[in-house]
Amino acid sequence: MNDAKLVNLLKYNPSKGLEAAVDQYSGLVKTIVVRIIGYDKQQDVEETVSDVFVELWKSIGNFDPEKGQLKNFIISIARFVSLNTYNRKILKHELIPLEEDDLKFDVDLDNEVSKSINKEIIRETINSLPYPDKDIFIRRYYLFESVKEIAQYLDLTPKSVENKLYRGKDKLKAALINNGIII
Amino acid sequence: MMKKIHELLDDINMEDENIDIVESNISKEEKNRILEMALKKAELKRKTFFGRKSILPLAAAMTLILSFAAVFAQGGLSNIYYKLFGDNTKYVREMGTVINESCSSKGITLNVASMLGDENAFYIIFELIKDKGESFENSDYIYFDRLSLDINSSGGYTWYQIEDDDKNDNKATFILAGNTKKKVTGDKLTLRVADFTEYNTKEPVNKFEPYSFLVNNQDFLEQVLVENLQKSTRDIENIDNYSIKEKEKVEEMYRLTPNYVLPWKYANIPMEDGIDEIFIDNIGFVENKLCIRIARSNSEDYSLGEIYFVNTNNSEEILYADFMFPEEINDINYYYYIYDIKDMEELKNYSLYYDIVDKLNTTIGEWSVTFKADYKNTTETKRINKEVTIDGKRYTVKNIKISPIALNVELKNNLSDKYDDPVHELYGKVSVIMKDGRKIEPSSSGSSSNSINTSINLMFNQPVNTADIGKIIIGDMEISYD
Repeated sequence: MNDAKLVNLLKYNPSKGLEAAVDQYSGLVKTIVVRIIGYDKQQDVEETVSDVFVELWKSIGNFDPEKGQLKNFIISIARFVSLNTYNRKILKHELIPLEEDDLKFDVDLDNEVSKSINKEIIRETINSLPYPDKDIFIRRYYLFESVKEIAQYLDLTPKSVENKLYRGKDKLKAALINNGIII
Repeated sequence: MMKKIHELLDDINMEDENIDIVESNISKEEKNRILEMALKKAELKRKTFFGRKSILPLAAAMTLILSFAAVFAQGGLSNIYYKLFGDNTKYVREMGTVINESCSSKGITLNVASMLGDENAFYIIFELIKDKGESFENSDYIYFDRLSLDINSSGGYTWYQIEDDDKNDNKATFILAGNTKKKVTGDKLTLRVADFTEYNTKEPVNKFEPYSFLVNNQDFLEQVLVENLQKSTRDIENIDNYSIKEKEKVEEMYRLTPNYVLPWKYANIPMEDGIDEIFIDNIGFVENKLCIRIARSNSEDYSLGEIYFVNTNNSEEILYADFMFPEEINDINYYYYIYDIKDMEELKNYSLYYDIVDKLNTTIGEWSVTFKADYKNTTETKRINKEVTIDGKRYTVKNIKISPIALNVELKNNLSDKYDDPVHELYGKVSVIMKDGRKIEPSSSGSSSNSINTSINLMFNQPVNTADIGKIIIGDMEISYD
């Protein structure tokens, strides 16, 4: 089923729309959910995947096909819902090792004005990263893919991915500061 | 303040990126469970079973209650089957087994009482039993936070609580109906339940009466209506690959969605004394329909059960809402119900009925029982090996398997058919016709597909005498059954 048809079903016939969305996108959503919350309990994974589809139904009015693909919209919801579930967990595994994830300085995303400015700077900085650094960056920090998975996907060695991530992090840090990020 | 890189990306829009990720394997059974949970959470599904309908809009409480009379033993099986199937139980006497395997924890015993089935479809009766001295006296129904059945292949299942004749006893009984793609007979199954909540439903003491309320509050009849901003524009004309049926469905939904709605009134009209969590925000007529906006705060203690109008001159005439849509404002969920009552003259003949659902208590714990599906498989298999077209797609019907409770059709997909739409539209494409011309009503149906094979399961509303089956219709094929 194409995206336009699915979006219309979710709007006008939600039961059918959810059925089609689960049929088409549950494998994709499960990937994101498992990467973030882990696979300790199948029940928890299924609960979270179902939450993602409920959120999709609730927010389908915000989807603008002019701005991007439905698949990416669903990925963003899956990421958001899974991180919420992850944050509620008492015993948490490490999503990304701290030394890899830590930017070493604070960025203000609490205040609405600075949040808006900083979001723009982050987006521009990511866009300015050369190929394949941008892909690697998004796969690691947005999609929580393992270094091994990224290496396989981009046909690189894990060591090369690690190096690019390390250098990418430094580039990001420098670019954020140069572009005037609010800390 | 944030300093983790992944947190910086939380609010960044990645919708235009070319993201290509590996999709996890997900079984049909898993999809079914996810869909079932999503529909429950979204309060979208009305469950049907054995021809009776019931809906309790509390998301966590959509449990159909079936009513049965006295205890009745039938061929060694639980009386429940007789009460479910009546005289037709005679067709399934050979197909069941008493199990009585149980597990106890925290003063509660989960007992799998019996099972009845064929090669792919089955019914399991299970019970929750409280320790002596305790009872389910006040609880009208029970909702499990988690319930799962471990089976060895893909499949689906659903479960319902069966209303107890002896409300004062310490036992609550449930039925689980399911089917699997591969043979289930002889397999070990595990039923797991965790954390259950008991609910009580009751009619309000001081019920809200729309007619008398509107007579006494004329301002509600003279409101300035507002445009319904939730109504999307209709753009289906531009979508070429919609089928006529789908276009009709979209048109129907569009037609039902009102152009104008009641304004926010903040009237706070109580629906039951002493319960602040549920109230009416506004009521009035819009586009010749009676509309009621009901608020339900996110309270776990109370929720609204069934809500419908009954014709005071004919109690058989029950009006459920034609259409309902939810809105959430400041943590309060508002439900906008639309009833086909055009004016005060018509409303005079209708009275509103509803239940208030009261959460009694939640018992935390986990119970699981492993048991063997050790019943006699009376399924008859017929080899067909003929090509059939279903909804424009070609398949080869390999086998049909039939028993008094279900029909299973095994299909091979036609790999040379390259369709843009990979979805198999199989719902309602298989039917069983008796020799006297009666069409057998299914209580549930499901299908399971991979790239090579597809199977369709149809569980019958009532057991049948397979000798009385005249023909089976699959897509454009008719198979005479004798």
